[in-house]
Amino acid sequence: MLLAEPYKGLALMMYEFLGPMPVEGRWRYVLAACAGAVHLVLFLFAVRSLRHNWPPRREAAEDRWFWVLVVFANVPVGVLLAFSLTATPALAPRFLIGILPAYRLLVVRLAETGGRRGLRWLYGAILPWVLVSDAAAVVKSLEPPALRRQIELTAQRMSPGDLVVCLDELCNPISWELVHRLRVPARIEAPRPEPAAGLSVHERRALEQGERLSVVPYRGAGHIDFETTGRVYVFHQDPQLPSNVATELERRGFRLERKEGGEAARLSVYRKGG
Amino acid sequence: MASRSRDWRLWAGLLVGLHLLSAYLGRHRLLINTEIWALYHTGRPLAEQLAAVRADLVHPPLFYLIERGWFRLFGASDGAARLLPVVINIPALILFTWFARRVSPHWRVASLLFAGADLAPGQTLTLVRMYGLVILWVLLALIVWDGWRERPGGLALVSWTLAMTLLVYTHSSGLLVVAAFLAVNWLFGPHQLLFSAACAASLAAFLPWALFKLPVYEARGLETNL
Repeated sequence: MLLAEPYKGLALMMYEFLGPMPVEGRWRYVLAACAGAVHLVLFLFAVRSLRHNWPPRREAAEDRWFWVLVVFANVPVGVLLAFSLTATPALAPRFLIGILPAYRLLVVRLAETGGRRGLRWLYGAILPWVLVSDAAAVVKSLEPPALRRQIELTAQRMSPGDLVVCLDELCNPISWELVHRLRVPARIEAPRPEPAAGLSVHERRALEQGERLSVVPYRGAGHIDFETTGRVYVFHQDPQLPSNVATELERRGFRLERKEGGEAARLSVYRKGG
Repeated sequence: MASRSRDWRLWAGLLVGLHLLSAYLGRHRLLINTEIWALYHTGRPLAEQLAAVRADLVHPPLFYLIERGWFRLFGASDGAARLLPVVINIPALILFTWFARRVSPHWRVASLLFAGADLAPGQTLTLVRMYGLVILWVLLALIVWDGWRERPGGLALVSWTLAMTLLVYTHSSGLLVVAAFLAVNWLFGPHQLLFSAACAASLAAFLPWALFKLPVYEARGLETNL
């Protein structure tokens, strides 16, 4: 979304830089608009003072950092925006991460330049926003995510020889959690997704990207060794298993034993013969 | 003066404490796909790791090699992986606080914004990725550039060029930071031509890696990596 729509990306970037809140969907855009307004108000408070100091002078020590920060924080944004509009969409906060120190200092210098009203805005609106965003991130991180709990539970139930099958970009976290965190010597397989007909260029690229980044090599469902296992734990995000995986399991004599989990990660357990 | 100096050290210490607490509270976060991809390749032979990094057009090799060394030292565990960004962010936080004191009388709130917004659990700088290191190089470069602006000298310029070279080898977006420095020095710094040559040197240092990646870029284009 950010990459494909540069102007929307710019608004969301201001929001991400100011401090994201734990909201999804339409609310993100509402908050992005609020973040834009917060920046605009700050700028307006500073405008009068800026007019007095224009043009910036090389030797004016008291405001030299201000203009340095203005240029430093905005040149990369301008270059990346121009690149996004003329070449490839690339406007994303992570590509502008290098301006973060200058951006934080510029926010504070703008507030100072805006005088008492600017500082009131800094301490009354911007600082509370950041602290709420920080507190929300901390609170959100206190509970282990559902996928981690699911993996831990599976690790406890697994017997030697059981097979884990991962789908829908779940392979990397499952592999990391099982092998590196829980130190469970599990066999993990990733069946190659069957590309649906009429995929858009973006969807096709996402599939390629998914395969390149997966630490569990993709393999055709028909080439996975199901013979040496009695139980298969299939992690997936979509409610239904892809037809190639479901068909292959049935063909090899596996039956669904149980299904559990929520939207973030579903687990279907299959048992041979059962 | 001594009390002011103690002030910033105390404040930086407090922020580092909060960062450590925040990192501890954020320990339940699941690592994301790209973090795991990079960590997985640290355990592969070096040539294989470099081939994988080469296929990723945006990210140069420096951070991946640091990760490799880190895992060799501390083992390929979940805890070791999560500790790496914390260790990188601590000097960044201290440098930011010190630098903010030079820039603004409200340096405490500036550093609190930095620590609060950028180092909250799950934020980009806390990922086991190269972003924290980007910030560290940028802060070092800003501080060195400020020193060079006041007292232009060869050592400062060489140090700045080195910091920029490390930056562009950490993340390709460092090229944008070089452009920002070029503009800033052209408008507000001394010896513009000499400084432009230093910018060109850091870009030239990136050239071997860019050429190494060129065939991948030609075959696939940039879009698949963005």
